[in-house]
Amino acid sequence: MSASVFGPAADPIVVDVWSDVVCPFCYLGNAVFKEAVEQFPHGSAVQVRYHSFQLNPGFPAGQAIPADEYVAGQYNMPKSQLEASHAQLTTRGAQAGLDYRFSETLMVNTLDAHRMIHLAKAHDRELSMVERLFKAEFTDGLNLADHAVLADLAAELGLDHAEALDALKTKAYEKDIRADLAQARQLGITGVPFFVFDNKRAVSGAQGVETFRRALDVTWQDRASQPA
Amino acid sequence: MHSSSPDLRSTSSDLRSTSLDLVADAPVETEPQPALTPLIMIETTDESGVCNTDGWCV
Repeated sequence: MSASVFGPAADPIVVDVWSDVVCPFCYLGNAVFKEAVEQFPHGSAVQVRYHSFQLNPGFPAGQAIPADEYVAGQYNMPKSQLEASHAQLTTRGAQAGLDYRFSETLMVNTLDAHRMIHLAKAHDRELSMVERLFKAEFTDGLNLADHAVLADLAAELGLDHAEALDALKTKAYEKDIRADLAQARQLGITGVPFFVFDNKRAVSGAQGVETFRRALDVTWQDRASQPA
Repeated sequence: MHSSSPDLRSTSSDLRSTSLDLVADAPVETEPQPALTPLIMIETTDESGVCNTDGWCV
């Protein structure tokens, strides 16, 4: 996808996306949605804004445990069921060009990762950071609770390493994250990924390309039907 | 992290009560948001592909 697709347009279709970096369906949903935008004839007029959401806000900050271990413990899930579930999502991910490696995935509190997304947003690198964090979580097996890891990822995207560390140390962007969470509650969002089109229509979940295309098409039609 | 088995979801209800996160649970002190009109959901045939606030994915 070209950078312009997710960049500013004169009067863009604004798509607000709530997601969490430890949400496997958010990674998939982002990839499928991008494919839909690429297929959309007016893709260059689509602007995406990411918003913070936390699936496990009570997870201890700074800690990391294998995600499989966490899920098995929390939900008393048999290993065979977990593996079957992983296999299904791995297949869907591969179809979308994603490389899920669940055996290496860690569960963390994602608050600091969201700080990095807001930092990147301030430097117009929001999409790059969101995608890098997803890959770090689900493919690279990196510990996203580790400040050094997060700062390295920021630097990898051209952001200032020291600024990233400072943002983590000072708990920056707290107000922005709270605003995202508050808006999610206001909209009644209880699961992610969640996509809102022009503040009017919504798609819940990592749906197929055709669903996202339909959302974009109808949003475009909404505009066409509005009086000039 | 994700599963198609709904019967296990009931075992995860304790997660909400253990939420200690300051950001999620602290009083919201944000700028007033404009009143939101109800969203129109795009119809789908598949309600899976979502991770919920109890940490459970279906």
